[in-house]
Amino acid sequence: MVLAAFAALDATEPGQITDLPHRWSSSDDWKDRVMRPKPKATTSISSGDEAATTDDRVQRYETPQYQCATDATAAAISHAEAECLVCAGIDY
Amino acid sequence: MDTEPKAPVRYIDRTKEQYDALGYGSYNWAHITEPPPFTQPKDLASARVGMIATGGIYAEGQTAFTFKDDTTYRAIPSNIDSGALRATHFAYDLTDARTDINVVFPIDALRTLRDDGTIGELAPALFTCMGGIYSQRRVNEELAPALVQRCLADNIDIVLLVPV
Repeated sequence: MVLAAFAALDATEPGQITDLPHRWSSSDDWKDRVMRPKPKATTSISSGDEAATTDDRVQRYETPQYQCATDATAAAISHAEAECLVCAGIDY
Repeated sequence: MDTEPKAPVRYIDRTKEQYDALGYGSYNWAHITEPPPFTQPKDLASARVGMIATGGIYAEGQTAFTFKDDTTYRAIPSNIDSGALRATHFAYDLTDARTDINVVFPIDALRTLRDDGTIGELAPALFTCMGGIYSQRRVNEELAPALVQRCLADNIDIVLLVPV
């Protein structure tokens, strides 16, 4: 797919979109479900003015979000003695 | 079983519908009316190729991204073992990316293209950042110029952009 993207460089104009013959999965049914508002479960007490949709988005944490706990330890060790040259834009 | 392909998901429209349903005001999408000027600089076989990916990828030992308007970026050495790469993000399902990082950061594919001569060479560092930054001003004034400067400093001819 990456090669196909590069090959398309020769055939495209600025702003042109080229569809490649690759599919994410054999079924496109997931397209019907992605990013659709999910109805909130009915409760017995309601003020009547809240949104009728469940907000299931992930919370936007303001602290680094590591894939695993050991990564946090590894980052602390690698940044303990010197300014990191690859985590650009971060003030330690 | 294969089914008929469906039209691409209109994510902008669905985002608007989702936010409307949650009771938020309409998001003020950026409108770019003209594509930026484009000139293919040289043949791929002699080009230095870089990559900028917005999937929240970081390397073991680097500080992970935050989920709120993080306009920092990470420089990933292009010779890194892809097993040392991680993915973190609030706006997409990370399952596949954490199984094979190439889903959002095709570093092994680029190395294959370099090794078979399709591209000239890889830049010494490939860059990653977060998508889902709600502040267009900070992207335009902080993140994008910083990435452009790094690409220019590394004499990169072509950049593969990998959004998620």
